[in-house]
Order: sequence, then C-alpha cells, then structure tokens
Amino acid sequence: MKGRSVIRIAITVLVLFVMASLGYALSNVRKGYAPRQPIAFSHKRMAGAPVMQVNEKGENVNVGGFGIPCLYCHTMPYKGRHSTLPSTAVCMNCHSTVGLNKEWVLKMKEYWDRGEPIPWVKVHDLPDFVYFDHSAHLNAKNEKGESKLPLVDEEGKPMVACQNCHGKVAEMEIVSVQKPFNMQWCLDCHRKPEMKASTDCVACHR
Amino acid sequence: MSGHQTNALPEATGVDRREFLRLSSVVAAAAALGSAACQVPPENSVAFHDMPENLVDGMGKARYFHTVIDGAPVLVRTREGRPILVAPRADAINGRGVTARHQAALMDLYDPDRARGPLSVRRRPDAAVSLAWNSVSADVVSRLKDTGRTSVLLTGPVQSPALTSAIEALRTQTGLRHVVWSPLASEAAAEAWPRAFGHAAVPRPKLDAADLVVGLGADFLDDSSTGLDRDFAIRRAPGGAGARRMSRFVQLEGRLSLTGANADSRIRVRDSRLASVAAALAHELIVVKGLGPLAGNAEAARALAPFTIEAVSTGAGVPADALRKLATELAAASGHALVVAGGPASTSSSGVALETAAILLNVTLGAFEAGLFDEAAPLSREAATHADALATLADEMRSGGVAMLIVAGANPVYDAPTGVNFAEAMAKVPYIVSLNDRLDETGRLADVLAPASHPFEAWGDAELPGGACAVQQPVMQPLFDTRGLLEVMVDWAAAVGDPACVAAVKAVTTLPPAPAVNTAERAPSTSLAWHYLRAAWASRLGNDTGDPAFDAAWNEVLRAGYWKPAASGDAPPRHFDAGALAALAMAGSSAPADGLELQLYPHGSLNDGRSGNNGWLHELPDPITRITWGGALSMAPRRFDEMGLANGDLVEVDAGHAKLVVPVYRHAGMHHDQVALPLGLGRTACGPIGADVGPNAFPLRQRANGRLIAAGLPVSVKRAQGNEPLAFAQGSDVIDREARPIVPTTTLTAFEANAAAGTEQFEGGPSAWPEHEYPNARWAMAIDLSTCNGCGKCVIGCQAENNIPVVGRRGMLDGREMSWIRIDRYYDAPEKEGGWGAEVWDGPLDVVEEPQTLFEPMLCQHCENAPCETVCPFSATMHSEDGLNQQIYNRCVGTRYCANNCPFKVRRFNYWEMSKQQDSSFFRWLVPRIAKNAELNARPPMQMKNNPEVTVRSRGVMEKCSFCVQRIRLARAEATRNGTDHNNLPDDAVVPACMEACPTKAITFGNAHAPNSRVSQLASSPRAMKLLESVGVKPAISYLTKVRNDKA
Repeated sequence: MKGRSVIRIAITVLVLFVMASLGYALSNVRKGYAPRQPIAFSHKRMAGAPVMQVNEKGENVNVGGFGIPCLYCHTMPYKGRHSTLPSTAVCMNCHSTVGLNKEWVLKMKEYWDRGEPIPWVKVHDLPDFVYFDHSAHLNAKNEKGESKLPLVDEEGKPMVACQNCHGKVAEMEIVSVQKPFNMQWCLDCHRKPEMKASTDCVACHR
Repeated sequence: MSGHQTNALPEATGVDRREFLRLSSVVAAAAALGSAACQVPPENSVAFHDMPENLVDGMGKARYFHTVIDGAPVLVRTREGRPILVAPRADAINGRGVTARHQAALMDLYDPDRARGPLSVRRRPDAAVSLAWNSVSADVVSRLKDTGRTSVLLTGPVQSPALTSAIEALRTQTGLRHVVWSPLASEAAAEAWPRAFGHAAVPRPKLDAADLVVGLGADFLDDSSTGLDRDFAIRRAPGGAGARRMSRFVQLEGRLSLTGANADSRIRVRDSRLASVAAALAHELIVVKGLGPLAGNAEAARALAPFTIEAVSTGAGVPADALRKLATELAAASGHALVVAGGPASTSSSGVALETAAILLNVTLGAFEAGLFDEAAPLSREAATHADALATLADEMRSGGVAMLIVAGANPVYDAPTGVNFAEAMAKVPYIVSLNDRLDETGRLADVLAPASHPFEAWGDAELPGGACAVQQPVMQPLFDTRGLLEVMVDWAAAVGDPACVAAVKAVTTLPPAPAVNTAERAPSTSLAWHYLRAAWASRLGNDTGDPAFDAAWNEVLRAGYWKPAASGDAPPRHFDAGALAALAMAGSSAPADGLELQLYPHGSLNDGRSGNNGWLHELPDPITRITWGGALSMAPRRFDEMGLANGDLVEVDAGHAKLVVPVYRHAGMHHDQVALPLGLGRTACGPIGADVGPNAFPLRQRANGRLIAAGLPVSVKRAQGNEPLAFAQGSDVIDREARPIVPTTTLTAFEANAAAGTEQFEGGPSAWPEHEYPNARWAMAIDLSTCNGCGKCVIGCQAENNIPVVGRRGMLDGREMSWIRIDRYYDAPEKEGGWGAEVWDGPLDVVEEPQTLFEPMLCQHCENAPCETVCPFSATMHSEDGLNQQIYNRCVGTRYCANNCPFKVRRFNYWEMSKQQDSSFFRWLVPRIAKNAELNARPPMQMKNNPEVTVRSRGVMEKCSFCVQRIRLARAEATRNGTDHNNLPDDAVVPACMEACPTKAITFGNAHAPNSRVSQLASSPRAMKLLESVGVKPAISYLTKVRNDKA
C-alpha cells in the first residue's frame, strides 16, 4: 500500500510539474524571441556607444556604434500609438553615400532600387486583441511632472525610457525580446501604487 | 487479470499498464500542444518604401476629409488611406443633411460586386470579357464624332456644376443629347410654387422658427437629405422659453410615417383626400374667418367655394370638428405657424392642388412676412423626374432613332414607370455604353460597361443650397480599374475638341517630371478631372489656377469642404398669384371611387434603391414597421383583421396596369382605405447581397399630366397563397406603461404642472450591493426622447465604428441581430379602466388605429449593478473604475449567461464566424449559411471598412455597446500627450459614434462625475429617468421624457 501511494504521488507530481512547466513556458513565449530579419541590421552598430580605436594603419576609427538616437528611425513613440518602423528612405539618408561596400547595405539598397518595402519581422509582437499605446506610456507624468517610467537602470545609470520594456537594444547585435511581454508583466507595473495606472480590462482590450 | 499479468507493472505500483499509458499519452499530448503553442507566430511589419510626407506624423492616426457624396456634404474619417467612417459635418450646412444611405456609403465603396474594370458585355452579361479604358474611350469618341446628333446621354440627377459644364461641352461639340432621369422628385412642389409666385425657388421652411407646424403629408423627418430634421428638433425639447418654446406639430397623413410618428397630434387622411382637406382649412380661414390678404378676394372665394368643411369632412371621412379645431388653432397662431406639404402624398394626382393649398395657407397665415421661410437657402430637392422625357427617349429608341446610348448613373430598366418598357427599347439601339458601377439591370443589356468610380475615389463638386458649392475630393485611390464620371466626360469632351477639356489634357500631358522620392514636394496630379475642376473653380475663387493665391483659396475650400459666396441680395418679394388657385380644382376631381388606394413611398434607408447591394441599409430596420431585408404592403389594422390576415401572408396588389404579390403587414395608424408599399427594393442585378430582396414597386407608378403618380393609385388587394415571414427587428411592440414603465413620456400640460411627470416607476427595495467607487471619471449618457425622432442614423454610425457585421434575413428571422444600438419603437397603450391584460401585446385596435408612437434608443446601459457582471463565470464582463461595463472578448467563452440576465436585451452573441471567409469547401457544403455569412460580410475588399481600433469578434463570444471605449482611450492618450489630466476630460473630448451621427443632438455623453458637465446636468434634470430603478441596476444612461405638446 505504501509503495502504491508513493507512485500515485509521484505521478501526480509529474503531471503537475509538466503542467506547471507548460504554464511557465506559455507565460514566457515571447521572452528571448529573436527572429531572423531579411537584413542583418545591427542595432549595436547603429545605436551603440562609439568606441574609438587606432587601427593597424594608425587611423583613429570607430569600432563601436554610431550612437544614433532611437527616435531618428522610430519617430512616433511619443506622438502616437505605434513607434513605427523607418521607411527605407530613412536608411538611404546616409546609405546613399556611406557603407556601400557592405553586404547588407547592398541588400537594403536592392530593396530600395526595386521600390519594394523591406519585410521586417516583428520582434515585440503583442496579440491582436491588445491595444498598446506607446505615447500614453512615454508621456505619463506623476504629480511632480516627472516621467512615470524610470529613467535610470538598476545600476543607477541614466537610460532612455524605451529600455524599460525593450532592454538595452543599443547593445544588441540581433534584437531579442528581453521582458516577458505578457499580461502579468504589464500588470506588475500597472498595479504599482505610485504608477496610478489603470488596471481596467478596457485599458488594453476593446 | 491473469492474462494481462505478463507485461504489466508490478502490482505494488497500483497503476496498471493501461492506466499508465493513458496518463502518459495525456501528458505527451499536453506537452505537444504546449510546445506548439509556445511558438509566437511570426508576423511581418512592413515599413514604407518611402513614406508619404503627410503621413510622417500621422501613422496609426485617423485623418479626416470633407467631401460630398450625391450632394450631401460629409466628413470622412480615414486610416492609412482608406475611409472607415462617414459622419455628418460638425457644423451643419443649411439646407443639407446626411441620410443613412450616405452614412452607409462605405459598403458601396467596398462592395465586392462592383465591376473591377471595363467589360465588353455585348448584351450577354454572363460572357462579359474585360476591356481597356483606352479602347472604350476611343470607340465612344469615334462614334460620337460620327453619330453625335443621334446619340443620347442618359444620366441620373446631376448636382455637379463641373459635370454639367463638361456634359454641355460634349453636347456643343457633338450634338449629343442629354436626358436626365431621376426616379424620385418633388414634382408637385416644383409645379405649384412657380405658379403661385412666378419664380421657381422653393424656399426652405424654418421649422425652428414656427410655434405651430402643420404637416400635410409632410416627410421632413423621413427624408433627412434636406436637414430639416435638425431644425425641427431645435424646438422639440420642453421647458424652453421665447424663441425656443416648444413647438407643436400636427400631421395629416394616410400612412403612419416617421414624420407622423413624431407629431403631437395626428389626423388620418388618405392621400387622395388630403388636398381637399387642405383646401377646406383654407376655406375656413379665408372665407369663414376672413383671415389674410386673400380675405374678400372673389377669385379665392370662388376657387375655395366647393371646399367647405362640411362638404369635405364627409367626403374625406375626417370629423368636421377636428378640422374646425385645427383651423382655429392655425388662426390663433397666425404669424407663427407654418404649413408643410410634400412627401409621398404630393405624388398623388391631386399633388399640385395639395401644394397650392399649403402655399395658400402659408400666405393666409402670414408665414412669408413673418420670415418663416428661408429664401436664401432654397429647399433643394430634385424638381422633376423627367419621366416624359424618358418615355419619349424610349419611343425614339424603339423607332431606331438613337445610334448610341450612354447611361451614367441611371437605371431605367429597374425604376422606370409602367409603360416605358426601356429594356425592350434598348434592344433597338446599335451601341450602348453603361457608366454605372456594376452590371446592373440596365448595364446587363449594354454593349460595354465602363464602370465609374465611387464618389470617394474621384474628383467632382456639388452645388449646395443658397449658391454655395462643395468640392468632392477623393479620399482614397480607386480600388479597381475605374474612372470618375467627371474624368470620363472631360476625357471624351477633349477628344472631340472642347477647349477647356483640351486644356486639362494638356496640363496632364505636359506635367513637370515627378519630383525625386524622399522630398517634400508632391507629384502634380495626373487627374484630368482635377485640372478641369480647378479651372472651373477659378471663376469662383477669383484667381487664375497658376496664381499662388488660388492654391491657398483652393486648399482652404478642401479643408473647409465647401465654398460660400458673399451674401447675395435679398430674394425677390413673394406676391401670391391668385390665378394659381385654379389648381385647387384638381383636389375635388381627382378623388378615385371608393375603394383602396395605394401609396408608394421611398424606402426609409434604401431610398430609390441605387445602393441596393448595401447590407447595412437592408438591415437597418424601417423606423415604423421595423421590417428588415425586404418590404411589405402596409394595411390598416382593422381591414387587416377583417381579411383575417397574419403578418407576412401573401396578397396580390392589382393596380390595373401592374400586379404584384407581396407580403402584408398590419401597419398601425394607417388610413382604413389606404395601403402602402416601399419603393427601392426588388433589385434583380446588383450583387448577391441585395438581389431579389423585397418587391419592386417602381412599375406600379404611372405618368399623368407631366408628373409621376405614386400615391392615390386605385388598387384592389386580394389574398394570395402562402406566407413569407417578415424579418422584424427587435423592439417593435405595444407597451402598457402601467405595467411596464420603461419609456418616460408625458404631455406638455402635465410637464408644466410637474417637470418630473412621466418618469414614475415602481418603488425598489434597498440594495444589498456595496456601492462602486469611481475615483476618477464615470462615463454616462443622456438621451433626450423629445428630440430623438427615431431615424436610426445612430445605428449605422455604430455599425461602422464598431465593426458590426450584418446577419442577413435568416439571422434577423432567428433573432440573432448584432446591432449594439437599436431604436425600440413602441405604441403607447392608452390608460384603460381596470388596466390592460395580456391582450395588449397583440396590438388591439384601440391602441394601433390611432397610435401614440414612442422611440427609445436602446443600448448597453452600463449599469452600476450590472446583472450580467454577476453571472459571468469567467469574469469576462466586469465593471471598470470609470463606470464602463467592460466586455473582454479574449476571456469570453460564450456561456451566454450574461445575455440571459440582461434586462435590456442588448447583448449580442456571435453564433457564426461573420467576418472571416470559411475556406474549407467541406464546411461550406455542410453548412451553406457559412458561405452566405461570408458573402454578406467577408468578401475582400469588404474588410477594408473595419475600424482598426476595434477588435473584430470571432464566433463564440458575446459583444455589446462599449460606449466607444476606443474613443475614450484615444482621448485619454491625447490628454496624456498634451500633459492635461486624462482623468478629467472636458465635454466633447469623447464623442461616441451614435452621438456623432445623431442629426438632432439627442444624445449627450460625458463624465457624470464632473458636476458641470452637460451629461450630469441632464441626468439631474427632473425629466431624467434611469430605467428599471425598482430592479436596482442603476443604469448610466438617463432618458429624458418624451413630451407631447397637447396645448392646442
């Protein structure tokens, strides 16, 4: 009898474990998602901090990033619901003259010459029944007029508000999802008393 | 067990092999499912190649354009270059209103049954092959050059000055004849007014300036294209003083119309007797009471002599007392009273007499001197149907005198009156081109179909009342290979050498090269119509098109939507010509022999039927009969009962020259000797949505004396075999307010004694529920039932805004309608000794012979103690902190408990997947309704009408009014962006779609927590009633009493 209940308990535990891990997996389906893009665009190179180095020819070259601000390409997050992707024309602002010997720049230019939009793959992809508004988050201020989104990271260093959800994109070669991007995670913030944010269903679902 | 011992697990485990396998298979299946679900389906995010300059700050935001559709100025909301909502302008243009048909124009625009490009039909529509525009144009132009003098252009009504001049250019160059055919027109008024005053303009009655309005078959609420419903509503709320004192409206009519249903008192007069009754009123005022400038005029006395009240009342079956009382009332209100004729009654053979009598009454009452008519903005309705010209054309065609027929915007095979036989005449014409948008009844018999663009896709303009003019600017690129009507006419006129049109072509062919991409410059337009239109507008705007000042003025016209000339001089004074009274003689003679007479009236939403394939219009219930997807013969209740009929029983209507078998409907308030049928139904070739829906009553009309007669037609009605169930919409009942006090209504006398009269309800007990706390806003609505006239435009506005599908006739018959807002139409049962029993629900004659009609817009009440919220086992419907009753689709599993528990019956369940094509041919074969539902809602490009801010619901979820929460959230985000308090939005920051669509401003929405908001002031008015107080649901919607002005 004793052995029988041990097995029963073991099976129950096994089933519960599988269900729990399933639940965990389901709740984190988005975290770590890093799809392949049609063009290997490097946020690290474009938006990262510059690192100057003297090369073998003795020239001072930037081996880091160009430090282009997020808003140069993603123009709308403070103004509208979507942050928006840049049109290929924005890439051509610089790449009509620079980087024309690079494989991926040439690939981008092919798209441009064909007049075809680049089919980027969405990285931060919420379900279609979620209506997220970038501007409502980035412009949210507390009574003192300070941004409700933290502007310093865990180490106390200043950061752009985008980093709160998107992580350190400027350090990513391939952009991946850094946060769970599930409802629990949204509510973690919305429920903080200092946020004074709505926890109504219709805040996101309508 | 022994047989299974060998490979079983040891007995001690307690789990045998089978159970183990069962468990492990469950685990494996769950794991497989789980891992499959772990994958995020990859989704592309396709950026622009080169973003249009004007979208740089507008991605994901709505853009608004003023444009004009069929002469109605509208505001079109677009998202990413496609229109998703048609709303009335915020500032109304005098003399113009928006009808349900204009609001539903999106469904015409995205109609998959429009022709996709030019077709060579060769009179065999099933074997049509596609053509190129250039070859069509070349063919037509060469034929115009050869046989221009024997060619005819047949159009519908033309409201565009630019199109008129282009057609005129074509005519001068080639000798082409232009024939206009407009199926509906106010011919009697257009005949009577010039006779009476010597000039043609029919002035617009100022319904907001009159204390007493008497309607002689008037239809100013049924036909909202003139915007008179707006004016009328201004004086309909009680409690105003001076110039805003509540007006009184008395209507004389045969069929209970929407206008009559809103009357304070109504007298039943059949159409053919209406003119004599009007003349009797004039006789009483002028001859008996000696009122007005014509008192003592011998000519007037002679013309009116036959129309004593005694003589008329017996002939017309109207009590003499009622007429005398009305005449006394009119005399007392002299100088403040208006008489309005028109509507279907004026299309009877005595229509001119009716209009003349109405003019005479207005002259007698001094309405012109008192400024009760707006001479600056004439009532712009089509003046003539030109039915005789159409008949002459058909005769010419039959005799072989027409070498080429070009049809543009007319469909005479469908809507010509009896005896014209247009289809047969078309067979004798060698070459026919149709410029209609699809292979319709006329286009099927043509040689070539060259489809014209929808007005939202093409340049044009339209004349507005009072000399104003609006530009029809395209709000999107053409969806298909179509061209605007103006574009085509300019193209053809240029090819035959008209200088102005040639100039437009030159402007296009010598365009400067398009600027390089990624610059702020815009490419010059390649539209001929655009160049032609601007040149035509140069005279109006006062500068040459090359002048920068012109561009500034032009852009301002595009922004504002219309152009208004500097104030013109005073209109010529009106001198009544007593000679016009000769027309009154017709009032006496025209009366048909005793028996039934038929009235044909334009369908409430489809109007003349040109938008016959529009599901929204078919599904919008008729405001009175509440019939959707079809029409029925309206019959007086007593006659209906005597014939032993039931709703939907088939009857044969025999008008002598034509017969129809139609379902019959027991129409409350109908005159005993009158029956009525709607026009605009029964299209046969418009597309699968509208084909063969209802009867086509157009062939029952007759030509007489240069007019089309559509009322007072002698008919006989006899029972036919069978029954065709009528698809009634929800909310079409008789109400006993003693038992169910759910519509607040009272009379003006009672209201003046007690402002809260009519809001009495049953006492409720104390509530066991804890009070909700609303830390910030509490959204609420107030609906004024006195100004609401029940037209149903809110229903279409809501449908467009909230992606609501249509369910079709079957769905309506099953009671599965989806509209989030509906207009309940009740007939108020009068008080009865001892109270009514259950028989009241059957519509007893005491109630429905002379009904008091009540309209109540019904939508989710967003109850504070919502019964739906407590029964949902999944918390899919919950109360928000700003007082909304939220419906969360992704939580809903479709138990439908909430709908069962909703006392207002406003929750809608998706029984079918309405908005998706079902691709599986097996399922389409198995359940044909799946294919039918997709046909109604989900054929591309229909999805383009969807509002991207609102979820498209799928099968198995509940839905209902959300108070347009998407607009609330957008307004809050806007406030956050601007740094203002998003929890305390001002009035008008949020305007729900129903409120936006309401022409009479009966709906007010706002924050009930702000004490000064309009909605909280209305909610605290003594007229406010929140429904079902005794149940304790505490709705967020306050209804203000419907007050009837009984102060004669």
